[in-house]
Amino acid sequence: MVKEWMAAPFTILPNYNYEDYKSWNVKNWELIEGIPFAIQSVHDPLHQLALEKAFQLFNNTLKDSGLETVSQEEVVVDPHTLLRPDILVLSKKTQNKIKFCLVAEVINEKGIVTERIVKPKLYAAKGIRWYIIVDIFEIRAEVYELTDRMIQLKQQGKDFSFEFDLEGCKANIDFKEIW
Amino acid sequence: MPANEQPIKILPHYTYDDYLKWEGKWELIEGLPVAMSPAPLLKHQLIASKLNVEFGIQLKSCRECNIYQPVDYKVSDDTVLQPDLLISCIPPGNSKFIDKTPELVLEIISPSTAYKDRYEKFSIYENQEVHYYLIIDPENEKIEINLLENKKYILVCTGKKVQYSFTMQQCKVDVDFSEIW
Repeated sequence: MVKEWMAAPFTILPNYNYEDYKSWNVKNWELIEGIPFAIQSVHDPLHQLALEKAFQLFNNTLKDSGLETVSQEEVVVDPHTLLRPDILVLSKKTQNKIKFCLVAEVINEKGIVTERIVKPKLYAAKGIRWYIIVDIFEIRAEVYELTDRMIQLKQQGKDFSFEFDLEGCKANIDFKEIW
Repeated sequence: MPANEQPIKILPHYTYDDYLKWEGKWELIEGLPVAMSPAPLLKHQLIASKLNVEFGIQLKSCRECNIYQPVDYKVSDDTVLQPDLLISCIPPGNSKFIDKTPELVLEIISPSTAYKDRYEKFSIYENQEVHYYLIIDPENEKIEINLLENKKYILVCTGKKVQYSFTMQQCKVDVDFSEIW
């Protein structure tokens, strides 16, 4: 009795959805187009330190603005894509509707591809106007703005301040506080 | 850059060191994380226990053969599997995982894992030259016994109430699978 199986000629990609993700009951994962991505930064002390400083910077600046700063909360982009940005600024000004205004990702050399190439477009697809990269490898912050279907670099560097318009609220963030 | 440009699909490529840090139940196949069922059906667990007992009784007198349920089978630095049952005739030492080719692996499939078990893992176990690969289908109460011959698996036995005689190193193991359902 012979049963001939075809050897798998290519990698079979997983294609999980949000329901699968919930069943895992884990927090240190993101889901991008059905593929799980581990949030490895939780094991990186340098990343955690920069994240804490960046979080405090946004939180302290925005605390009386009516905007809320949260860390690693779920942003569901589509049924197969769920991200947990390091920093998320959201507005609850509109009744019963949360508006995501800004996300920031703290990256080291490991996170370059997803954070620089994949995530900006996913956040843009969600209509999030501001995207910030805090690069602890290059010691540099980068501010991107989604305008007219384009993601534009507005400013970058180590020591600079930038005035954001967050749902009508002007907020000046001094990035040198992070380093 | 245009925000609506179709992005290239970028895949992660994790290693065993990454795998060790993960929370949750995962396997790692060619660098990709594959979720394991959070809690297999009771029938799945019952069959696994009965098979452990059945093989255990038969191999009790052998000092070399060890049954693991479950265990990390580290195929390579980017592929780590957790078969439902694994029999190895190599002493484990102090290792946290099996990295030498086992004699037998067994997977109890479910609708969500069937494709992976029948094709992807089948191919991995065959390439690793695992002597026996058993696939148990609890839903249809069916077992498939694949034997490696000339580096390819041959289905040597299939059905519900089957008996089979396995040869593992110096041991001969006669298993009656009719009792596991």
